Amino acid sequence: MIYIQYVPEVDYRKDAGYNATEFSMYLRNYITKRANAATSGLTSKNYNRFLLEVYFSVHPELRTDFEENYYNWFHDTAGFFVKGFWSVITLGKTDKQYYYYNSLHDALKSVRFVEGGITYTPVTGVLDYTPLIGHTSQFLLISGLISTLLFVYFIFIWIWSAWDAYATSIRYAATKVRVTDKEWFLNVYAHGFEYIMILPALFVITFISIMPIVFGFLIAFTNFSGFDTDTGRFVWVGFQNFARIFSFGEGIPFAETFWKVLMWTVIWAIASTTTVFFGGMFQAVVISSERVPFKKFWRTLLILPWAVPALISQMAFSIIFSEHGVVNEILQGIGVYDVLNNWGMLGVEYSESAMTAWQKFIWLGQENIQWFNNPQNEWFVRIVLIVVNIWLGAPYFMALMTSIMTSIDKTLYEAADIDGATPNQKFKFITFPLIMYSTAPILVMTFSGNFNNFGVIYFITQGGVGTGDISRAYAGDTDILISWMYTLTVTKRVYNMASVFSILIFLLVGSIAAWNFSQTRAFKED
Amino acid sequence: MFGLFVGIFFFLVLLFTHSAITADVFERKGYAKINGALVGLLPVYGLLKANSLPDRKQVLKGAYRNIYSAKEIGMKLITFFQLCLAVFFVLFPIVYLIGASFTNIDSLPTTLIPPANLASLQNYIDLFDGTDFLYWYKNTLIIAVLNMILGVVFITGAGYVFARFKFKGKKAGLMGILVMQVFPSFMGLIAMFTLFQTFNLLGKSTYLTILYVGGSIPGNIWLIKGYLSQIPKDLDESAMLDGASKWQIFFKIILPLAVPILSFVAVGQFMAPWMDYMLPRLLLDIQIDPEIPVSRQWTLAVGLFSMISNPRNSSYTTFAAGALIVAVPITILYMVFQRYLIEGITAGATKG
Repeated sequence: MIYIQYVPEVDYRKDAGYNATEFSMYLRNYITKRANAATSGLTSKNYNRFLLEVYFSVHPELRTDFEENYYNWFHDTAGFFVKGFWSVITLGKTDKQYYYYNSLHDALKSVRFVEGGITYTPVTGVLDYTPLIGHTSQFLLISGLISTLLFVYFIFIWIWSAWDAYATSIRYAATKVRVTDKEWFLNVYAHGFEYIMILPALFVITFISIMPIVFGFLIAFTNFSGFDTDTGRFVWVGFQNFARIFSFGEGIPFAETFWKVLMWTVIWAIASTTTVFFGGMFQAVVISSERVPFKKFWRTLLILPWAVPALISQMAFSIIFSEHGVVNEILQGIGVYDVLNNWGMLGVEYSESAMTAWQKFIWLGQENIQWFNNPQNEWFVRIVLIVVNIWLGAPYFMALMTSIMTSIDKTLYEAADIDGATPNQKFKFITFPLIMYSTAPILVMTFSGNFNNFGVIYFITQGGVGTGDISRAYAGDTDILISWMYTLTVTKRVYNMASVFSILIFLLVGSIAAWNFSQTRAFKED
Repeated sequence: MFGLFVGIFFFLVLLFTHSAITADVFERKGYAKINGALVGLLPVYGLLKANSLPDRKQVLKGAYRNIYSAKEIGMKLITFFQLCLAVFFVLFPIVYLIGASFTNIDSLPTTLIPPANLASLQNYIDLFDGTDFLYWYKNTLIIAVLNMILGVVFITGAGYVFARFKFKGKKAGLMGILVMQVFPSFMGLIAMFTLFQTFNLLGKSTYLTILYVGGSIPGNIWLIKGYLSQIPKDLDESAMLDGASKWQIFFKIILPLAVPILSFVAVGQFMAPWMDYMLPRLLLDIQIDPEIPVSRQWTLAVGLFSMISNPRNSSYTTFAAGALIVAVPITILYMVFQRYLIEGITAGATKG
């Protein structure tokens, strides 16, 4: 029953030809009349498989031929684990073939059947739209990984049972007391309690977290990219993709774009973290000032942006700052546009040759300020983005720091007062060091968070000008690595390069995070 | 309109400055500062009242001059100018969103507060009649509830073991979990798509829960471990001496003590799916049944973004209505629990 195992679709040679027999004619008539894919519930898969099965029964010699040419022991017969290992190692052997190789289809298409004055045309639609898939590497890889990971579990169980049998036999030899089943289970429970409790979570993590990461890691070493590999086969290519980020001037400019995007990502992460941190600190200092009554009132109002779901506020910003949006209307209404026009920041037609560098630098748009879709002045857009991010990020730090400030021991300030310290000195030598001490780990976390801050970039600018443009390797002006990877993965299907970048982000952020974590008490204690 | 607005703004700055000065005078005279600040909200009257109060304590001669010095008043003006400005910027998008949601126009509203003659509930009606908002809400709610229940169930035992026991492979496990968290969430995206395709789950929103639960376990193990590590181990040991089994210790001692952190985890699990975009966008935006429009399979984040992402086919005001319906409960929840949320994160960061 090889043709049944040969899933997902059948595959047949062009030159095998189709010889009509009486039986196959009847069958075809039946199918023509009854088997309309939409009404009978036939799927292309079982339709093909059924036809092939019938056809092989009629022509046993073709079956042998089929088995010899298209049969792959690992793919079609081998068990779960062996097939899994084979899949991961080879990623499949048989390429995808299209329907016109299928002689059954050719034969069916030309035959009409007349009964009772009505002509029936065969339903070949099912076949028409069915590419005859060979081995699909991505499915093979994923099922291969599943079986490999399961295999690891089994290996552990196997080693443990061997060890347990050995230990039991030793004990029996020494004491001559037979362990009953109940005792054995109680013993295992008592000694393996920790592992039993972890097991469910571990199992879920293995297949939901570890497996996808391994998959993502592995495809960085393949040529998995584009529609063909999506539905067909891809192969291992070693470190070729990693080399591409250093090979300038070849094909799609991944190398140039990568370094540009990386630079902007680092600038973005540093700038957004520091602005948010010091913005929050400034606001906290203002609120905590003795001059301000109703501290709670101000704090509650100013913390609102933290409580509003970021996704919603990010989308709101993309509306507010759109070219014909409310901000531009207000600025126009109160006459800011006139000032900008005078300064040459607005109302001037952009020209690459006639403008000085300074004029280009301050160019905000021709008719309206193009906050996020400025095609010429990418740094303006980026600075706006950093400023908008203060709205999103600073309130959290403000709240954090006000609560730290109120918890600082008051006697410290009293002692400073007696020594005649000025408010600035008190801030510099008491408040600031204490704030830094308790927020430093969070600062590092915020940095790595901003490094991967998909939301701000994607929901506000959707990558900015030039997203999806092949001449710039699909990266827009404001794309940071993570949003660029999103475009690469979801819309452009350049999976392998996206994975390469994932690995690089991991190495970069991971080393920062590891350093940060090694400083915490939790790590030192355990 | 603009002039009126600026007028109100500076009036507020002056009012708060006045209130702060009144509060200072109250304090100098030995009264509660907050009362002074409240009285000071009445312009002019507050300050007169404050100055007419009898002294409750010995007041130094130069004390008032200090309050009324140009530098002090100037600093107060600057302070409240800054605060009012910050509040203006904070409220701007929120007020705009609320205003936009209650208009009857379909295009982009271009005033902060729309004129009264445009006010209507049309957008809310459109949201429920014209879009699949209720489907998105239902899908998201199902995922959120399942994610909360399953997330807590899977995490509790593992968190307990990692916090209270020493065993072979513990440190390796904890390190492994940390390493996994550093990988960009993107890395698994392709694999999850393939996985869903393999098991024929694409477009079925409920199954997204599996991914959320699996993805949340590593972070939550650390969170629970950090919290439980603060509970003294003597408790377990004395119970053990009294003959309690590990299971009994877990249920009778640890679980009741872990209720705060478990509720924190539960709330976190519940909130996560509402605002996640990447996974549902990738896994749910796939037609599985020709009879059912694909948009019915979406979650809220995907649905809301679809309303504004296509410039030709956007309805910004309907989006505003939907965004408000989603954001208001979440915002209230965050505001109510802000102390726990903010300080909880600090505790997690410094103590592990």
